[in-house]
Amino acid sequence: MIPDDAPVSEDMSLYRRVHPKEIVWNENDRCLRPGSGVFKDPEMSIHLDDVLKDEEREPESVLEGKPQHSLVALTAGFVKGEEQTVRRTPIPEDASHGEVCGNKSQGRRKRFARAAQFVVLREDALNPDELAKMRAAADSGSE
Amino acid sequence: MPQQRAAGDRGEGPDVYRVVAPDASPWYSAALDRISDLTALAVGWNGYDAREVKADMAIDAAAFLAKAAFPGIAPPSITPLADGGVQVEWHRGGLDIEITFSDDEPGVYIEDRQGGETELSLTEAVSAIASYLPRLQES
Repeated sequence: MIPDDAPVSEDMSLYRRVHPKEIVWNENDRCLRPGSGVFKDPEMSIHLDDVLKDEEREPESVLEGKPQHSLVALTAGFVKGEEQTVRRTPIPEDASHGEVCGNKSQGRRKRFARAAQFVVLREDALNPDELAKMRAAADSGSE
Repeated sequence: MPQQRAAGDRGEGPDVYRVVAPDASPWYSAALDRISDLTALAVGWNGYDAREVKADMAIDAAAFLAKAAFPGIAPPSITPLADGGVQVEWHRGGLDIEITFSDDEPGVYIEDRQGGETELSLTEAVSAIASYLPRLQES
């Protein structure tokens, strides 16, 4: 069992659930991205990879009971570089729960959104408007 | 802007609001539906402790779109915020524009990949969109 005050390594993945309505098509980068609003909370809930591994859980396990949500990952090193601290705050239903704490300006949230990598992307649950933009971009690219 | 409150369609959870306005752009009606849908999200919708989207934030976003749905402008993305707000976004033409309707932190954020970052107040949102209109045109 990993103690609550154990250090968080720079390369550790921090996972966060994303609701399908928070995922947008970015025409500039021609990819789907979590909206910057996903990262607005000054005490943003995340799930720590080392605890998941310690419990022999896959990252996808934090989506149990949430069939529409997708999952993104950031590294601890990235968020620390954005003047954030990572806290281990286990809750009864999830020992991997933690928080990324600190002020998150709009510019910083944008950088979070750009850095986040999809671990699970449930395209079938996405907003049809965003899917239509994605498909239109694919069609224009193939012409 | 007139609004109608749908009654009797939910036994529990948040009220559902439907904002009605004349079509201003091919995507405008769908955008209003999208905003209305957001008001039906229940507490905790983001998988954590998100609040319900507030009706006044939804109405403010719809009112903004009524003014910003210029002819030819591409449809925006519309996302809920965990604090009960709504965000309207365009990501095209080398621009990332985010209009945030929120009690906590309302405002306009523009990142021009040819320039830099700009933050404006919500009162400047429509004029900002107008100034960038050539780069926000639907391709």
